[in-house]
Amino acid sequence: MKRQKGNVDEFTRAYMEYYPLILSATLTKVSNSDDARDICQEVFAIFYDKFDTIENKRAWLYGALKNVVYRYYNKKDTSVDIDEVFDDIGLSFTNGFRDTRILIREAMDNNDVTEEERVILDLIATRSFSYENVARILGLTRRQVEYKYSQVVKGILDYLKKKGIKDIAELL
Amino acid sequence: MNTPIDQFHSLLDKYRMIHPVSPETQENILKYRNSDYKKLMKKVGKYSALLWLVVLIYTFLKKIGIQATLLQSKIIVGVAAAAISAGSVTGTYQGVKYVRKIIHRQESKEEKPEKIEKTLTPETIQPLSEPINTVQPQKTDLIKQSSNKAVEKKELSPGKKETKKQKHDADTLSDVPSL
Repeated sequence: MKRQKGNVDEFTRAYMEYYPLILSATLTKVSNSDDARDICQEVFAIFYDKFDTIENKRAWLYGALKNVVYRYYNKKDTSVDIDEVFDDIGLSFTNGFRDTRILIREAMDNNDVTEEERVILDLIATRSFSYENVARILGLTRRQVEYKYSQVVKGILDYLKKKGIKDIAELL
Repeated sequence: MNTPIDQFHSLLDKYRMIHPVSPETQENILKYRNSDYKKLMKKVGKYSALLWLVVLIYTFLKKIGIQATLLQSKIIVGVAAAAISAGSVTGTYQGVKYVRKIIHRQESKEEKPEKIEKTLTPETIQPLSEPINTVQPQKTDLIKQSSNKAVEKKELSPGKKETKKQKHDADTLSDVPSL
């Protein structure tokens, strides 16, 4: 499929930003690192083909990842429940703490953040990436990452306050 | 330390929303990123050496905290390529000039040693029949003849001044008449 040069640049930028997220998500689902990289490669190959039509890249990538991992497990073991495999804030929500999880997820999704800030939130909050590594991925300084992350977390806590949770300790 | 960030992390941990990745795995992920991108671009048929170079510069700038775009990285590659090509042309020219100079210098050095070697080889050097001090200069016949001629001419025409031609004839050692 032919793609204009400008779109290759945009794809490259998106790849460099989302690759650590998708691969780290895959590594937590698939034990073998080589298989994880192959799965990641497949996800991004489909991402490349459909790049022009995608609006919410992050959501699309997580959705495609779920499908590709499902196919992977299906080949290996048909009895695997894919929803159990994806017990993750970024992908789906399952048993226990459902309402709270939905609330936290809403707070993270509805918060008025940029794409970059969302990547920072996912990498640090859900994947425990260090500030330094996130800075390397996004081309920022450590201090900038730390500041942006603190602002995003503040926004989430403000959202929870609006929903009636004045203190997080109530949820802990 | 119970900052808002710590509380938020505790909240995510409680509701099993954190899936941490070890620092070693984080380093590996960053290491795999470029090589997997290269494989992907080859797979979709968009790979080129120029694209790879641009991406290397782009990721390097990001790594050191410079938020450059891919377009800026392309410009850097273009400027670097122009500088290298200009430098290589000048460098090649200077290099060839220097090499020619060295070759010429070597050739001139080789000529002098050859001449000296021809005259001073042990074979060419012959022992003298008599010691140097005892050898007395002996006039050759030609020298004797010319000196005799000069004396005769002076004696024949004492009054006349010697013309240049006569003087030349007296002085020359050979029998070939001057023109």
